[in-house]
Amino acid sequence: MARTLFRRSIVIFFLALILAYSFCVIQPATCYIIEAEWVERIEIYARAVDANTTAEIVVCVFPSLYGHGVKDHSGAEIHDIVKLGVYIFNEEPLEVYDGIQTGIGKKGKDNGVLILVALEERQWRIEVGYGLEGDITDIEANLIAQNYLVPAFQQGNYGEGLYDTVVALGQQIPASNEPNNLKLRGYYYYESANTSGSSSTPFWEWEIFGIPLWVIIIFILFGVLFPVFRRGPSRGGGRWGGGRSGGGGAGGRW
Amino acid sequence: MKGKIVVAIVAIIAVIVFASFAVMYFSTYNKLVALNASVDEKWAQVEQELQRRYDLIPNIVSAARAYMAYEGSILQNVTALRSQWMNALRSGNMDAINNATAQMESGITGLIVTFEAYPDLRSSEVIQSLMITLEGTENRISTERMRFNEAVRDYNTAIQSFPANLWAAGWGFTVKSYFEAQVGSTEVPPLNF
Repeated sequence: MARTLFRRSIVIFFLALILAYSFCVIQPATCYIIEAEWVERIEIYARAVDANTTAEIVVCVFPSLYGHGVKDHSGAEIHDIVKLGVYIFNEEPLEVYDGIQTGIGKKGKDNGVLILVALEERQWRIEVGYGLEGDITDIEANLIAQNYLVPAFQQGNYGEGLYDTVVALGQQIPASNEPNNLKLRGYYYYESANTSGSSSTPFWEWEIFGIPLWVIIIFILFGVLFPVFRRGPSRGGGRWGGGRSGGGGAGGRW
Repeated sequence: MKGKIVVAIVAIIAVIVFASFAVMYFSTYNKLVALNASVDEKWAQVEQELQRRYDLIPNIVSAARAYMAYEGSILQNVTALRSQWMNALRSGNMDAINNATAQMESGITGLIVTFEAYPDLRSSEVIQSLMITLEGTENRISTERMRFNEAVRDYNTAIQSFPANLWAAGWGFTVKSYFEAQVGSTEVPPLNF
């Protein structure tokens, strides 16, 4: 009995690890670049926008355009910020509160906005979904970034710059008149785990999203042994479809 | 008695083979129709974005005219390329479209490079807005072009693989051309007008 439980827990542990790796090139915030306080404000504001307008404003922070592990259809890592934005917007499965969603914005409405920044290259990009191209024109997206993102980023105030940009973009999106029974996205801030460095560190020092691996192992074992701990998102659950974009928006450097 | 059973078995097998053949035949046809429709749909998206660029050019030219009085030929060149390109688009010939688009793109890039020599022009708000819109349009075109090419690739692969390759020609499905991303279109071409 105890042996089967142990065996089962090992199997589940490895399955969980595989799942964790397969889904998590980009993760909801566990903040090691942007201050937690700002991330929280971004999340709160973006959630309010989602609730009022159904539109999803998503922030994605990349330490660099190299080594992030997001690959196109041919299997090559994407280094161009425009292409990366289009890919993340439309094809990268991102964790939302009740599963995984591919495509930012609501299905059919295509009302997503992606703010993507690459810190090392000092590049920003705002990708606007098809459904919002009229509300946030390329010129407006550029103006908002020039007014809020660029000056703050030049001073190193990343969190503030991102928050102000999110708010300014949110103000462009009109409230939804239709009865709103669409699910909230839940997560709006993501960071890319830079995968290039992890190969050189020994596995006992691995960190996944800033949490040491051994902590995760213990938690997973606990989760298996005591099902009470197993709450939270059912990975791989529904919600595959989301909004689409086609390269609209603006981009630049700071 | 025995002979009847054999006949019955053979008949059943024949029916099964025929039925599965028919299912395969029709599902292959339906699959090609769907892929073909997908290519058409993505081409419509590409055309829409090309139209956006087409509509933008007169605005850029007229905004630039005031500043570039002495270099009217550059503006004329872009205008000429614009109509040449629209004709190609109307003809529906993919080679002509590819060719005209390449010229158009290098013309526009050349125009933007020329703007650099005019600080007044560059700092003009109208031109800045137009440049941002143009940049957005170029991004949209390259995105839709990529999607179109992916759809063409899926379609071409499908009609060339077994068993579709046996029937595709008979159904009128032929290999489609890609809308090529021009080699070096991301680089700045030399000023040649």
